This record gives sequence, C-alpha cells and structure tokens, in this order.
Amino acid sequence: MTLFPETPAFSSASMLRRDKWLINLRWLAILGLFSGVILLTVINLGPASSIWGMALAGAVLIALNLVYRLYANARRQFGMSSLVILLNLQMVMDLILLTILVYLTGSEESPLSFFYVFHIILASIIFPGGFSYLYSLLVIILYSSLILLEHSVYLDHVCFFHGVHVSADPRVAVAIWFIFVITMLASAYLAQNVTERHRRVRLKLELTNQKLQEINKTKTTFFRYASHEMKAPIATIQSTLMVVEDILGKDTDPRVINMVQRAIGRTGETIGMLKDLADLTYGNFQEQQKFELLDLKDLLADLVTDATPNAERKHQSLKFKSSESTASYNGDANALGKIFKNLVSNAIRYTQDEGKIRVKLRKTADNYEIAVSDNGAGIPDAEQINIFKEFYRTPSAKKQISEGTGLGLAIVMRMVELHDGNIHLESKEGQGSTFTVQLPLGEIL
Amino acid sequence: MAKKVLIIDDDFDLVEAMRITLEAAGFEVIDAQDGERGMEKMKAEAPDLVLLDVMMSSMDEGFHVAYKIRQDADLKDTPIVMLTAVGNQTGFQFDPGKDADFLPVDEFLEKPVNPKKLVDVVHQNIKV
Repeated sequence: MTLFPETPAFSSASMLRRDKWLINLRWLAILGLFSGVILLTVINLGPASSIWGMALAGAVLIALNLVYRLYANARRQFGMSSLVILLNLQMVMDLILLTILVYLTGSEESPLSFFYVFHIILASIIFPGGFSYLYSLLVIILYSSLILLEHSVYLDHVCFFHGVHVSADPRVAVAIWFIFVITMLASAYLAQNVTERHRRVRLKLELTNQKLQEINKTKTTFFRYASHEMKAPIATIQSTLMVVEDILGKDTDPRVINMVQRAIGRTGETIGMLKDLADLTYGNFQEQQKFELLDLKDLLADLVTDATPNAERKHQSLKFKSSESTASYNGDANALGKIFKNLVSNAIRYTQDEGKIRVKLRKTADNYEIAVSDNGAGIPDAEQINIFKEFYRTPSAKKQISEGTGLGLAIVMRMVELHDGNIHLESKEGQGSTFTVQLPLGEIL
Repeated sequence: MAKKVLIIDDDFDLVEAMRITLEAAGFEVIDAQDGERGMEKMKAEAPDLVLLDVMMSSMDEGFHVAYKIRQDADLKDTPIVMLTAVGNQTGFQFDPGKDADFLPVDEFLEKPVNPKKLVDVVHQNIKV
C-alpha cells in the first residue's frame, strides 16, 4: 500500500520504535493519573464518583497499554500502513480517555484540558505529514462535543469543586499546583525530544554530507591521476605511430597504412576521453580556479570566430548576437570556454549541413543569459532528462556520430555549477534545440 | 653542418619518435633524460635548439630548466620549445605572446607530437 510510503524519516522500523516509545510514555501518564487519584483522595477533594471514575479510566488504560505492548512484541513484521493505523488507534483511544477524565474533573473547569496539547505535539512527532492538524481537529471536536452534551439534556455537568471555595481552599491550590508541575515537566520533555530529534537528524546529515564529499574527492583525485597517468603513454604511442605513418612508402601494403591510421584515430579518441575526464575534475582543486573580471561578450565572440571554420565546413551559418556592448563578468575564463566550446561544437556536430546555429547573449535583472540554439534534429523528450549525465549519449546522437565520450554536457554542467549558474534545454524533435546558460550577475568587482 | 637539437624528456619512446623525425629532416639530435643532465649537455654541446618537456620528475621541472637556461650568459639565446600535455591536464593554457614575461620559452608544442608540426616548429624557431 502506498498510502504511507516509507521514507528515511518514516520507515516501518522507526514507526515501531515510536510505538514502543508511546507505550512507555503511557506508563508515565498512568503513573501521573494514579498519583493524582491518590493525591485527591488524601486531600479529600472532588466527588467520590469522579475519583472512582478516574481510577477506572486508569485501569482501562493499564489494560489497553498491556495489550498494545504484547501486540508490539508479538508481531515481528509490521507494514508501514498497519503501524500507522495501530498508532492512530492508540492515540484516539488516549484522547477519548482524556476527554472522559476532563469530564470527570469538571469539563470547562478542569485544568486537565491542557493535556490535549501534548497529544497534538505527540502526533506531530509520531506521524508523517499534517497529522498534528488532524489531531487538533479531533481534539476540538471531542472537547466541543463534551461541552455541547453538557449544555443539552444528555449529560450532567460534574461540579468537581462543589461546595469548595475555589480561591481560598488550599486543597484546590495543591491540586492545581500538581497539574501545573506535570504540565511543565511534560512540556520540557516533549520540547527537548523534538529538538533533540532535529539535532540528531542534522548531525547525521552533516556526517553523511562529509562522507559524500570525501568520496567525491577520492573520485575526482582518481580521475585526475588516472587521466594524467594514462594520457602520457598514449600520447607517446600516438606520436610513435605518426612517425611510422610518415615513413610508410608507396609500396607499403595499403592495409598496413589503414591499420596504422586507424590506430592513430583510436589513440586520438582515447586521449580525447582522458582530456574530458580531466576536465570533469576541473574546479575541484582550488589551485586550478582562476576567477577574474572578464568580458563575456568578447569571450563568446572569440569562441564563435574560432568555431566558424568548422561550421563553414558543413556550410552552416554560425552567428553571435549580443544585446550588450560589454558584458563584464567575474568568472573563470577557462571553465567558461569549456562550457560554450562544448555547446557550440555539439550544435555544429549534430546539426545538418546548411543548418543555422545562433549564440545569443543578453542581460536580465539577475543573470547573463547565453543561449546556444540550432535548427537541427532536436532531442526527443524522453532523452532530455539524461542528457547531462556522465557518459550518457542519446541513441539518436550515437546513430548520427559514432564516437564521443558522453562527457561533454556533464563537463558543461560542472562548469556552470562552478559559477553558481544553471543550464536548461529546450528542444523539439525536428525543430532544433536551445541550451540556455544563466550566469548570476552577483557582485561586480 | 647539421643543426643540433637537444631533447630533454624522460619518455624514451617519445624521444626516439622525435629523433627519427628530426634526423630524417636533417637535424642532429642529442638527448637527456632529466633537467640536470640536460643542463650539462647544454653546456657541453651548445645545441641550436632545445625541446624541453614540462613534467619530468616534478610538475614543473621543465620551467626550472628554462629559467636556468635564460639566466646563463652563454645559453640564454638558445631557442626553447616546450613540450606540454599541461594544457589539458591542469587547465593551464599557455600563450607565448601573453605569457612571455614569466615563461621564458619561444614556443609550446602539445603532446602527442605530430611529426610534420614538429619539423615546422623546429625550423621556425631555430636560428639560421
């Protein structure tokens, strides 16, 4: 049943712990109740029927709590929903008994009505979501019904302090003082409990976060080391192969020439992938970052100029437009270069010959917004969510161009994050794609 | 007389690949595996150009060698071509035009080394 899905904060194990906690709290409440009964008997306050009624309610509560306890111990396996129902049943029974106690001690006159508050707090601790509101509603209904019943003919009001001079009788003061003390202690306990839970969760989160950061650091260090250590020998292998290719003569078997050329191609692809892996770790190491005031417009214009020959090879029109004459921005030129080089070269790669690619820069209230759009094949909706994942290449991209590491957009994402920016994709199949990068203006130096 | 090129690089195979290419192009090639031996060969053989690897035993050994060459009265005019894979490893990008003030080299050549480009770069930088 998915009515109460398990979450880390509300697992069936934690609900079971709460069940046992509630049962233990109830023993304390029973102890308080009987202390009250004894106190009232000793100081001889209140009608005998009320005192007997309270004792009876206490006995019923003992019996119920024993049943709850036996049930919790007997059943090993609880589903989330059955636990939620079980706990609700207990809480509702508690509230009904409390209402009876309030009735027995004089309804509106009874200081016991404060104890409703504890149940609402308990509901908020025990249950997920807005249960505390449901419980406050239930409390209001129970209390209102009691008052209404007493003002109708169906229920007689209990005059708990009948014949007692309330403001002068020390017995009343003792009884009220007793309730006051219990209320204060219970409040302190519950407040402490809520805060402690909160702190425990936060500590756990902090520890988990620390651990994750360490793991991430290990990962990136490994990427960096591995890509570095692997690139050097492969670069040498490629250099060697190029020398071999160079000296192969006309009378060499063309298959040998092909083989050597393919080998050069493959080493090139591998080097490209290792470069990408190293790029992914960029920014994780403080010494690499170099934030400085630069002109985004110049950066983009240069980049588009550099990419133009590649676009021209496919007879594509690649143009840059800016709404700003200058765009002063505090960023890492290298990382920004990686973002837009990747986006523009992707657009060129995956857009058909004679396609249109536009790079647009504009300034909004909070951001510089850079849009790289094309009128290519577009990216199907189903593939869009995965597109920024490491090593992911869409099936249509693979079909179009077989080589590629699937790291380009992951690198873009990483570099955008480095600038506290965000990136989103709008794409329709057959109409083209637009990648929009937002870089927050922040403080201009 | 053939012009003399000194390759300072600890990668034997890469040295061999460059040696074959450069010898075929008519240069005389000598080599050293680290900065210290490189400096000794510089002094003993007075090459016409140095091909210098950036990363040898340390991340920046090549830079230190380049500084030493520039500070030596007899050697300071020797053209230096720096071999680098750094551009894509650490994110540093070099531009001899911009960085000449603090990077005392004449040209950067990225690994893997394309033979034609190697010969071109050496021809361009070697003093005739």
